[in-house]
Amino acid sequence: MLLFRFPRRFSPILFALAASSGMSQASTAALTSAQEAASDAITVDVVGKAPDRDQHDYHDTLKGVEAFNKYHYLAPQAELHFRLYQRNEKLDRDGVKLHLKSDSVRRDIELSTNWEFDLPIDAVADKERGDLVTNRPEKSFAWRPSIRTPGLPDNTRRLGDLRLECEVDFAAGLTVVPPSPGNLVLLAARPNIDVCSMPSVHWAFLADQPVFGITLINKERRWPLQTTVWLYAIHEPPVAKPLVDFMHLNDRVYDLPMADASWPDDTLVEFDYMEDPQPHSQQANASAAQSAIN
Amino acid sequence: MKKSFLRQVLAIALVLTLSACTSVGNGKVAQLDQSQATASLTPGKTTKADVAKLLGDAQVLTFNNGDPYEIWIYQFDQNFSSVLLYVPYVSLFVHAKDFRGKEFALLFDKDGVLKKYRFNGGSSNS
Repeated sequence: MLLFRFPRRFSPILFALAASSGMSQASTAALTSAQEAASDAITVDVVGKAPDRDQHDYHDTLKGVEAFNKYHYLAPQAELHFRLYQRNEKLDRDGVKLHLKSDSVRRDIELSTNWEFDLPIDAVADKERGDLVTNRPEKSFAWRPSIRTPGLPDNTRRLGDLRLECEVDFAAGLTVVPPSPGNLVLLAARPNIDVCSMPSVHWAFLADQPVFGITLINKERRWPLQTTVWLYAIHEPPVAKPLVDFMHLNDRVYDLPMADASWPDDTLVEFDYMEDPQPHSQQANASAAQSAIN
Repeated sequence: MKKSFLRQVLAIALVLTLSACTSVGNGKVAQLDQSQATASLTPGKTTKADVAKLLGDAQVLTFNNGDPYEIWIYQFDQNFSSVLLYVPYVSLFVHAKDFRGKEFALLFDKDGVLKKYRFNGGSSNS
């Protein structure tokens, strides 16, 4: 997260700049001369800064675990996972890997086929301010929590699960938000304020696939959310779009009335995806929906 | 200083409010209901041109990630209160005040043929 790790993220660059600017003209000339003289005889290994990898601060991510435990009542049957989403079209999707790395720790983290993972708890890595490191360049992924009550149809989520995702996400600093003064104040106030239950706060959730419509369902009550208000972050100002991590995923971005207590945590959030489900999954969803209602 | 800042915020809010009230469609959508939509529109057959002829110009949404679909939106109420206000001091993202009006959304495939449609909105208490 660029906002909070500026000193660490940029330290190699600053070091490189300092090193290059500090090199005297004399030493540069001597090096050039020596290289020219032996250009046919030696192989030069260029030692430089390793390419930046898309990574997230491990300690910050553990704060998300703390938030999960604090607000677990929102989704008592759900477990906490995390997930990576493709953030730009250039990403090579094959062979994505993730590991936890600190000075003395290196632990591979298994990714599922949809890039979901369980966070290992490692006190040493936390103490050493480790990172969760992918093998892809910066800004390759949008990092998110994934909290799902089991047994729901594929095309639904539970509102309480998503409220809890917001709490974990905010605590862990996963979603990249525009650095407006208000946002910085809110971010600095973590974890002392419950931002996700503030009526004026809107969140950018990511659906599993491109979404055409969303309906909130609680018993006999249904509310098809307006596209122009709740979907695609279409009101995000152009100046802010390069600053967030979900614009490549804007066909699956949605917001919810999280602060509206009239919609209980058991409310189903039903997705009408752009692509229609396969017939067999429709049947399975109908059965699961019936079970969820009963 | 404070008054000046307040004026700027109000000016921005006014501009966004006015732009949000830009009307779309030819007014026929206000009378549209599910049965009329079923009679007039056929997924897999109806084209964008057919819909434009029937309902007028829509608010068009496209996606920048290679998604082949296009979404057309018609708001039912020409005077809907979609007050869009960017409030950087309280919101992590753009604050879109609750809009209780109804809308009609249509999804077109890459060939401009209607794939599906839906009615959205109304009161959250309905």
